[in-house]
Amino acid sequence: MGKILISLFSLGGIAFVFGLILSILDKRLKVEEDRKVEEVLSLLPGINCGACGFKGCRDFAQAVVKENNIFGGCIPGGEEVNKKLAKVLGIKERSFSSKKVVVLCSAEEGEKYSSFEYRGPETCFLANISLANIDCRYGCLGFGDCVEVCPTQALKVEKGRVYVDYKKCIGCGKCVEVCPRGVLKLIDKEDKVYVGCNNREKGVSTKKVCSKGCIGCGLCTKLIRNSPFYLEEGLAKIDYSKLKSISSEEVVKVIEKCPVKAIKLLQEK
Amino acid sequence: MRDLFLIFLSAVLVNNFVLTYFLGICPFLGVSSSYEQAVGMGLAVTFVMSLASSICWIFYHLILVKFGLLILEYVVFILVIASLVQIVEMFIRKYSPSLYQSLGIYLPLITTNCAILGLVLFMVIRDYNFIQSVVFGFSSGLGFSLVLVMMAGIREELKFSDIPQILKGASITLITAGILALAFMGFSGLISS
Repeated sequence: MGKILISLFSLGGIAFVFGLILSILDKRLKVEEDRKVEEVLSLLPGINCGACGFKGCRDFAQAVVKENNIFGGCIPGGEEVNKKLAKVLGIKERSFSSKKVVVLCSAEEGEKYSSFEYRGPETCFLANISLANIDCRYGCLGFGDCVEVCPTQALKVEKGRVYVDYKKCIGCGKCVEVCPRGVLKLIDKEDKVYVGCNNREKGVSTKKVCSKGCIGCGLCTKLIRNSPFYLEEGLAKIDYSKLKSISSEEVVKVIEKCPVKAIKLLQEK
Repeated sequence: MRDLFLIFLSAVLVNNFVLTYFLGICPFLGVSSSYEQAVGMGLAVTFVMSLASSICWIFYHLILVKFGLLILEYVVFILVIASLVQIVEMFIRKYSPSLYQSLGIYLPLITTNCAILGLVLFMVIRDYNFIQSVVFGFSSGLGFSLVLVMMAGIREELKFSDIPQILKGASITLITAGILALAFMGFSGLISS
């Protein structure tokens, strides 16, 4: 009986002492955490993509609360999240449009010609500063540097071509930064048309390196009135601000007429 | 004095907790991916180990042995270690939020780190006196930090080396740990007896 009591008291005493020390220290070392930061953080997607320019969602939330400004806004969150953010902070809303990425090179392996075999390190960055594995000086190298940085695994490389899964793409633009050739581009989420080529050379030179490349014929600029398409250094480009006034039938007409089928329509998911 | 030095040398190099007894492998593999994190974790573990060994010695000899309560050995040791870790966590959270964030779950996991409970039990089995256990605790922590920092240095270099696809990630880490352990076996002749 006595032993039970002694063990009870000694263990209880030790636990009591430690509990006392801990509770005193807890009061002394209390960390003031802003509840607003937590509130902002709960609104954010929490994928730490870094598209806002901060290290992660927590960093962004702290900066937002501290400066009372949403800076460039949360890009993957889109308009909905940014509206909520503005509401929490009590500042005026700004309009945000969310983005998505398009691949400005739609040639597969074999369609991009190469005059020699590349045996270097298999990264786009290193292939680009050496002679590269394809003859085209503007096209996608297909080693998938972009696939590795994508925070949501929206990109994949198949047959030397990059595909985007638009259900997963959040438009953070990390892949755009890492692509050494500028093959990837961010466009507004609503836009559905893009030019699937990045080759700025003249038509003859383009034909020599790729069977799918834009030859700069200019047909797309002439087919319809007030065309959103224009030529720049032998490459068709799109003025997205003009595109909104063009009916979809006319755009489809241009897409069908393009001799190399370089203009692409994104399928509605 | 000589035995203190021997305890020190033995705990840091010859009978290193991580590479000879294979205790505390969890933080050894989990927190060794960057140098700064490893230093932070090493300091935290060293602090907990030195305090745990001295406080546990006091409780063991002044309370448990005196009242014949050896059945409470483990409970008391775990209680002491858990409280110390809690204190360390509070301090780190207050004074270095970035370290607190980067250590993440591994900081509270020191509580159940087998290296620390192992240290206290070794201290009891080997019947160290107070000074000896303090030295033992401190040098064990030092040995742990040493190995952790070495591993972090190697792993930082590994990021830039050409590793075969099949060995990438966890497997090369385990192989590195194994080779490090082999290297540490070279110290085994340092102390005879």
